[in-house]
Amino acid sequence: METPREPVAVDAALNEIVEQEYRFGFVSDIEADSAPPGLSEEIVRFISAKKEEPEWLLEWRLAAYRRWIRMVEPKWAHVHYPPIDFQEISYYSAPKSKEDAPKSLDEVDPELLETFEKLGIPLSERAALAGVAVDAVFDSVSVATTFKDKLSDLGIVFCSFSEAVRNHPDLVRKYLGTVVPPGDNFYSTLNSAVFSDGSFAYIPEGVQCPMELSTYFRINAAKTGQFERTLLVADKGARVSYLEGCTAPMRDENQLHAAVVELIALEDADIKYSTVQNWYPGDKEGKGGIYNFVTKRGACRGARSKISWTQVETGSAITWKYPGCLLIGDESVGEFYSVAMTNNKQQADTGTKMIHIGKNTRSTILSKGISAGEGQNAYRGLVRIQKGAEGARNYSQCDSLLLGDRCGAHTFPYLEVRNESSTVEHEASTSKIGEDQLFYCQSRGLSMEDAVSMIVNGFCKEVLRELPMEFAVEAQKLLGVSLEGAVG
Amino acid sequence: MLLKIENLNASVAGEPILNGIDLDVGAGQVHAVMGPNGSGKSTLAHVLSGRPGYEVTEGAVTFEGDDLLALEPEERAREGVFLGFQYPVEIPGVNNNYFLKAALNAIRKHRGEEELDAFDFIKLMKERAALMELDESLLSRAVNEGFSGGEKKRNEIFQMAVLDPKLAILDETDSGLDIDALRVVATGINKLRRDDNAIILITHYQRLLDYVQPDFVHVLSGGRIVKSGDKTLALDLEKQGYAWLETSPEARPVRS
Amino acid sequence: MTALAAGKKIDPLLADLDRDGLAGDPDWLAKLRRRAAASFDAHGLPTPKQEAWKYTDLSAIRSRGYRWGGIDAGERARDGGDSIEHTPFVGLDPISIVFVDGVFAERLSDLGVAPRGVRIVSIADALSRGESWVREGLSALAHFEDRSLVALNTAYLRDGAAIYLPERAVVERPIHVRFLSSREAAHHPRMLFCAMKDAEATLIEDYAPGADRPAYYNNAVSELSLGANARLRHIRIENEASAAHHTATVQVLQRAHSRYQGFNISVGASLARIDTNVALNEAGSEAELWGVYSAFGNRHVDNHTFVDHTEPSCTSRETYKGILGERGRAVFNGRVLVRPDAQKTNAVQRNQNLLLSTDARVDTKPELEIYADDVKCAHGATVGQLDPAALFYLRSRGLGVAEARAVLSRAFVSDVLDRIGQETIAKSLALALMPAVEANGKEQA
Ligand SMILES: Nc1ncnc2c1ncn2[C@@H]1O[C@H](COP(=O)(O)OP(=O)(O)OP(=O)(O)O)[C@@H](O)[C@H]1O
Ligand SMILES: [Mg+2]
Repeated sequence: METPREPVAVDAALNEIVEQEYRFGFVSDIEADSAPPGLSEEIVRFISAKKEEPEWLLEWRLAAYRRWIRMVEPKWAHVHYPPIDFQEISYYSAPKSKEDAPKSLDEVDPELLETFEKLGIPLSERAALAGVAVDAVFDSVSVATTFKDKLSDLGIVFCSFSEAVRNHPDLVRKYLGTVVPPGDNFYSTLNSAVFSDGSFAYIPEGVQCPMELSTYFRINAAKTGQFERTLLVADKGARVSYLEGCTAPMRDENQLHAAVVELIALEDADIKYSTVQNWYPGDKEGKGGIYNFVTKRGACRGARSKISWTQVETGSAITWKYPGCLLIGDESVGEFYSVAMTNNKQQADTGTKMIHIGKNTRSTILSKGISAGEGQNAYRGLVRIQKGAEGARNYSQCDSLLLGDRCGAHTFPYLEVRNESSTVEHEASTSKIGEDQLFYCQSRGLSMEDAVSMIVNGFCKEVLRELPMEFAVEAQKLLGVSLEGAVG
Repeated sequence: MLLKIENLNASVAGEPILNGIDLDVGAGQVHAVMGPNGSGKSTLAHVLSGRPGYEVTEGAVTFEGDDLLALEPEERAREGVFLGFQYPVEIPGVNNNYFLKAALNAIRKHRGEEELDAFDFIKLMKERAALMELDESLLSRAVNEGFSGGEKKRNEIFQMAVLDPKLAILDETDSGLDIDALRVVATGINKLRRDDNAIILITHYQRLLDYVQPDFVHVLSGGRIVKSGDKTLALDLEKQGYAWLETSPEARPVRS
Repeated sequence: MTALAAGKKIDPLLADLDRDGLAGDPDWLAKLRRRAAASFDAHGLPTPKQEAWKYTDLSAIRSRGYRWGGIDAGERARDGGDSIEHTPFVGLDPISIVFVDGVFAERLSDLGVAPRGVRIVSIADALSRGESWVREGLSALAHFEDRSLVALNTAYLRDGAAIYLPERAVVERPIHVRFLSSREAAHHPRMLFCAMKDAEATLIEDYAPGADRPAYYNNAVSELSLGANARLRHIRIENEASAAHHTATVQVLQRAHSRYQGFNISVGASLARIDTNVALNEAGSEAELWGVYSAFGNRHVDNHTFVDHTEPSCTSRETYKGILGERGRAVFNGRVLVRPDAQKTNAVQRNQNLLLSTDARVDTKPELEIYADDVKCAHGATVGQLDPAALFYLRSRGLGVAEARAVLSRAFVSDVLDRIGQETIAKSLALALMPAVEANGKEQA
């Protein structure tokens, strides 16, 4: 086949794509109740007191804090950024509203409701997306949770983390920190000390959650970090699909987001966790943007349980996250589907950890990286087959697509196999967008931009189809935004 | 004149491939272009459809009186030039239906026509698929991905049937087809043949020309048209092959 | 603090060097040694804390307390090393140059008549004659600044093979460089290979024990440079004694349109770590890296490869295959770097592992790091076991379980071994690959 030279038009189209705008960069004018910048035992106590937490949780936080001050920031990821001054960050910011927390949605500050409306997340149940219950987290606190009552009829607990600590302390205490122990890594330890809010869900034995549960995170206040914590437990035979979305205003300084997500699946339980991450990525020169340093891990504790992670990462200045699965129960299944797109000066170092412990455990990894502009995109994944994991299987595929000659795509898989009856396969490929594909599309009348979008979306298809319907559309749109809003 | 090619010279990667092609294609005509491997047939097709990397070094091409070479590939497609690829490209993850709908609507929009809604589009697809006897299940698969050689070629003709071009350049659409498929494709082409459109058929074999009777046959060699005639020329070629090119003085290729 | 302090038995090299006093060094070499020794003292032996050594622990070498300086001349003179026998590969008819315990053994070598202008000599020899290309070549490719094993080798560099091919020289007979080791000490064999424009050769670099199969440590460094359009087929065989330790750095530099075909076979030492670094430094160069390794017993084998695409239009293809049984352990790390200007790079890398026992273990890490966009790069890694269907098929044709396993295991690596193009070598390697017990049916399927 002929290999024509670089068409000039590709560059032009790619440039246009690189010149895209962030849609959610507005700031809401909401009075906030914030902690002064800096981190100390006092601040930890302040946060705990604000949330009226029980003594054990304060102790838990303090233990984490004392560990954290002795830890050093990890440097191994394929990302570069100036040192973070942890004393410059404010660790707590909550929208100031009425004296006591809103009892129902009607009491929520209309400015807040409007903010979420603008983000496409209507919180009034009438207008809400059918079949999706939303917990809306604004800066450090959860401001509203929809469909709570409907869910509680089935015994499902879905509420903000603070509320769970108040109303279901036993559940929280039983599971908190059991998957991501305090002290797991630098950022998760920091989170354990200062986490402010987040979502909690418990699906009781045998219950199939009738609607998608979802948390929407919004960072609004300046100079704050967001440290939310999500804990999701699916009891025996339970099933749940959970969605997570996020945005932040455009600000010149970098903001830190260091969340922890813990998933627990007991026997025969099935958790599907989907993320569409669209934190503010910074501007074209790489100014501002969120540092997204997140620890996400699920434990398939019971036999035949399953945890599936799907992520579409288009935002953040820097992303550093490895949603993983501990496959403890025999025949348990872990999945990781990821699309990560870096544009301009964005950097992503993301992937997964699949730890096979039980017999006949299976895992699938499918990662699609897209690098444009000067974006750097690294896949880093660990597959470990422990000695006892008889008959374990893993299949990984990592493909990278390069749009432009100043970006980078990197693949660092670690495969550690200690069981002879297991099978592990890893495949990766990197190439630029196909010129013959572009020409084929153009010769059918499509513009260069449409052709690029179409090919990129096709490239991600296998991952996007893992998303729940509503999200898949949203994700396609997001990729479209990142690729000049032409995808439909 | 629908298409007018004058003294077209083109090179690929600095290498001259087309060395002065003259060709007029009028509305309603079918032209067959034949010639030995490497003589520049696909190159001509690619230059006409604007493939990047093909550099026109001399000459002019007009389409309905306007300069064709000034247009981007998608603009040529929208003006009604269609290239049936010798090697159709696979585009993983992009659904055939979706792809064609996007293409058709881009073309319709350009023509100032209403975009087709999903319903009308599916109707059109079904109708054209039936015309081309194309298995509809192919339409919900990714563009050409995993298609057999013959399926890809049929898909090209099917796309042509949907996009309804004014000028179709079909590059060896007949190779790789089984006997039945060849008949289907040829019948399809004949059905799409009208007084206001034209077809350039690049082929190596007489058997397609048995079905689709060309008005003119051209022999390309060394990047030039060395002989033109009516359909009997193709029959002669079938008998004699291209050996005569070596001896005939006016047909000596420019490149040795 | 020197990291060495951890391994108490080892004195800082600089002090050692003064004591061992490699007398008769020309000035530049004495300086080079001291720089290398200082660098080693600053970094010490690598530890698993370093990412590149995450899965390989050299503490066995450290705790053995080898004398870094190897055997001194006095000791060598006392027992003469005459008992060492050497069985060349049958039917190979090579130009051969043999070293015993790190020193040239003329008695065992057959330098034959090399084509005009071709130099095949011992490094010690070349140094004593002040051959300038050796001086220029040593340490030109294998930098020791942050690689302490190279520093160690350079500090104690004593002998090895130096090969020079002038322009258009084609050496038809394979050049066989053999390093035999017989005594408990650390040796630091060195190879210098330099092919000028359009030159061609086949080089066999092999490491084997002397007759009495002792414990020893070989820390080898090879520097290979290929001029424009030069071709080298390099067959490197690590078939050391099973109690031995082996570490090595192979550094290859390629000029325009040169072609390097490397075979890296590692089957012997109880601990082997081989770093193969290929720099595709000019457009149009091509590298093929083929590897076969096996680990049975308690053997640990670690292959690190690094293919550095700095210039456009280069191609690299890499396939490493391993067979692991008993408590054997393998590490593979293959890094492919495509630098910003290396457009039109084509790079493929495969690592495949066959696990034959419950206690065997593999850690593999193929890495792609790409900063250019017009590239085609792929890598793949697999860990698996013999295909039960194939096993059954062989058994249904009358083979015993163990035999069928052996046949299939060898078949797994045979495509690589066959490519070596030297039948006798491939045959002897196929035998060395797995212990006899594997083929004699001790293990059950
Ligand atoms: N990218 C390229 N670089 C260099 N030469 C090229 C390139 N593309 C085509 N060519 C050369 O141009 C000449 C004409 O090729 P073309 O594909 O047009 O031939 P063709 O007549 O269509 O042949 P076939 O009957 O085999 O399809 C051939 O010699 C071919 O090798
Ligand atoms: Mg052709």
